[in-house]
Amino acid sequence: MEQDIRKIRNIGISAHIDAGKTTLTERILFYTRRIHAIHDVKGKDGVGATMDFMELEKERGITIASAATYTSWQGHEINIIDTPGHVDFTIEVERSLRVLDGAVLVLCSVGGVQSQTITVNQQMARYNVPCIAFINKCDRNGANPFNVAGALKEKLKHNPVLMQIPIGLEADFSGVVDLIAMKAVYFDGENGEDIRIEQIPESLVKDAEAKREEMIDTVSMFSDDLMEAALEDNVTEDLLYNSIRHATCSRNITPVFIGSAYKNKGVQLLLDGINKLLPCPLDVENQAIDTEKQENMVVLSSDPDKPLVAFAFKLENGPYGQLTYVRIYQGTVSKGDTIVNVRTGQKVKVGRLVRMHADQMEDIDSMPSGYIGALFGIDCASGDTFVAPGLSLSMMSMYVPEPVISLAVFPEDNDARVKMSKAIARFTKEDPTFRVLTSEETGDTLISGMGELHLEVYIERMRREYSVKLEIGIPKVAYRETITKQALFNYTHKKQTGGAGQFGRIAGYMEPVKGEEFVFENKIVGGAIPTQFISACEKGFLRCLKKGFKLGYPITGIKVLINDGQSHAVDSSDMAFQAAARGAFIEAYKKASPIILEPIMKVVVETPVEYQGAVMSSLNQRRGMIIGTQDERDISSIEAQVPLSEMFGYSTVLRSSTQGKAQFTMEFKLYKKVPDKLAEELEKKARESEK
Amino acid sequence: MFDLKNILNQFVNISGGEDDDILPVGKFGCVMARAGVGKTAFMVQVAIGYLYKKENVLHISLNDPVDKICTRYRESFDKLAFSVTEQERDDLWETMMPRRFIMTFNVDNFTVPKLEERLTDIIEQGIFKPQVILIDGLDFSHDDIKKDIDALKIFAQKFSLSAWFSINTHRHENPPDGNAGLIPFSNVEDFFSLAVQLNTTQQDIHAEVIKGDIVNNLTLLFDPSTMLFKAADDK
Repeated sequence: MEQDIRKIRNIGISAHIDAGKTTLTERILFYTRRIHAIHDVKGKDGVGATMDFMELEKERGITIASAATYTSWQGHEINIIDTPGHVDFTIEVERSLRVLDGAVLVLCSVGGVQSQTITVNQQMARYNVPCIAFINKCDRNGANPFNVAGALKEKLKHNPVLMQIPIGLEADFSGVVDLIAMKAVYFDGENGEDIRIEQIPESLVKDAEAKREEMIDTVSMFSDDLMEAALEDNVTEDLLYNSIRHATCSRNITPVFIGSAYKNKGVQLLLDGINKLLPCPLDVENQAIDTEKQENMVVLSSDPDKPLVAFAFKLENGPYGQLTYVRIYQGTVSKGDTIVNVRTGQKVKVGRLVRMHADQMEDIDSMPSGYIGALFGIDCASGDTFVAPGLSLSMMSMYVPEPVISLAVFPEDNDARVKMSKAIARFTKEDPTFRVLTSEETGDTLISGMGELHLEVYIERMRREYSVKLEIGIPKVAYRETITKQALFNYTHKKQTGGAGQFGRIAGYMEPVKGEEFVFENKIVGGAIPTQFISACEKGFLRCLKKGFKLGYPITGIKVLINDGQSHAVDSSDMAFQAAARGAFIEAYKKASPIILEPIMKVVVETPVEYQGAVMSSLNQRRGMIIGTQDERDISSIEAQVPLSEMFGYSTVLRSSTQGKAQFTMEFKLYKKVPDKLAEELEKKARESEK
Repeated sequence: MFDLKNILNQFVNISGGEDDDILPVGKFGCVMARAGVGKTAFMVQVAIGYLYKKENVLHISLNDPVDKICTRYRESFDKLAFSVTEQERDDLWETMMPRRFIMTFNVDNFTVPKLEERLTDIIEQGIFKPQVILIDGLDFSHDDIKKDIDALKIFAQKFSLSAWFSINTHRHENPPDGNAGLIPFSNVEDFFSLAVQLNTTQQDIHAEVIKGDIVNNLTLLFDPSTMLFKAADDK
């Protein structure tokens, strides 16, 4: 294994659905000779793209789980994580960005900046990931990479710098002009593997010169050396690349490459760009929390000889046991090493160490800092940190969104129940946004996730991978309860029915609070409630949040303040005060005008303009509030806020009302009060189910 | 300092009193300034005034995407409503939002017939019926602007709308009458019943009414640090 950390690139490929991420990855693997034939997503050969190795991915033509692979190009090792574009799988994107040093943002030359592009862009910003853009599908009708570069600036606030201009567009797209070398580059051969370099066509010379000048102007704002050289008319290729690289790594600019992965054009130059412009692990400062020193932040060193710090960012259960994808941030992990899981404190021995290539793997003996690979047979959860014995460092935890939808699953028989438990145990470990719980009332198993598709995929996986025979219930929305006004409580819990008695009085008030689940404030003075029982009071209140007293949904956005109480020298106990807190909560809750909240989704539909009216109407019928419309030539993008409960089955409705020409994305936006009429219906249903 | 009601009343004044419309149906108003002075911020706050008066506003932007405009509204509103409780602010916002509809177009892509087609669509389907439209970013320097404004006049009459425009201005290099005439407003002045010009001073931006007789005594300043209106005595 090569050890030059400056020649490692850990990159992700992010984009909107169908922008061509997987096709691009397929071409990268082909040109870097990791694969020997190209198979397209939903291709006629029925093989499917290499990175879409799950059966379901091949069938639906979407990428569900990110697959990691590594490859090499011009002496550089490139670790690539292919990420899903659908917003339901956003945790996969979050995880991959957490461990990447750079990213390629793929944009469609026709669609431009689309709704999911905005989401992945925000994720990149959250993790400070520098990126280069690849404007794909330049062979398609309506392709306009200049517009897309403009949209990068207008909509995403990037500072795009065109590295190339196209030679022809749409059906005439035949190559690109490299604005650094000032040469025309064509991609010949059956699969575009033969690069032919020519003089710039006469008709493009002026454009190319103007765009190169623009590029130098923009980049020189971030490089004094380049500005000086430009003034002296002495700009060299090396200086230009170095300056662009610095400005890219600091996220001041976004170099823009263009091409068509499907038509095998422009991919090799993008690979050059990855090597030359995206950061190596040394360029990125990574920090960890020292759990034994007041959680101080510690800067990690990329030195392979230092003690190990590694981060498990993805788990997969395969036929040979659990596979744990790790990124090494410091030190080296080798076969036979003993490492410590910081969360559990457990020591584990590294048995097998592999590098992944989609679903195939390659055994290696050691893996130094900066690399991404996988450990075999190690029991851990996603997000765990592994360190060398003696270290107490933990990588920061990842942002995990709360699930918004759930549905009941009913295994057909006991055999199915056992298989389903196995499947669920695996999925919940792999995906923190996929949760499972048992309904207290009915005993049903409820699975929750980020959207209909998210849950559908797991159900299909249970059926296919674990042969679970099951029925599914109707999807249920994750409603919440909250209060709308302040209410006082003064409750005494008193029980003296033989044996030790129970006594505790709690007084105070509850009120709504914004942006917090629960706030507890203790304003007891003079020991009205002895200090040792305060935590019991808090615990008692907290327990009440799990199931609201209006319709039984979890309670959120509540502040409880206690300011008086009473105890008894003999009869007061933790249990008595917990019971008093519950009594106090129930007493005040009813007076605090509780309401039901429902999840509202941000829905963005992209549709040809002729269907704009039909789409708006369909959203309107679903209690949607249309925020706005955005017209970009023949495509209209409609943004609305729609209650999740109204969105079930929307994909079918949208397909039929637009002849399958529109697509939509949906993500959780906020919780809002359920309209009174609907609240009444929910109450009625709740009463019926109680009977 | 002034409270939400006071500040919103300032915009109610700009957009006509509670019961009195400064721009009756079919009339046009505009805000003019050089680039970067705060025309969009002005428009957004005027829109908030209308929304506060429970009038439906269609905001058309030829510059910014929907997300950016939404953010501008929310930021302006939060700053304006800083003196009320968070709950009151959110409640008021919730009541105002269904009254706002944003449409964005590429400048090159925008035509009056296209706007008419879109608007007819949303009105006929009962999705939204605006009472005021704001058009931000229309290029007043292009040759056919008179034709466009004329078409918009007919359009406004047809849909019973009043309309606000932002106009990017620059001074005549050699003004024919010796005065500093405003290009391109001077070409289309006749179409407008009300025109507000934003002028920068060292500390503030003055909103000066240069056409229209209703708000002569209105003294409004614009704070360049927040891009919000402030009362003249709020120094």
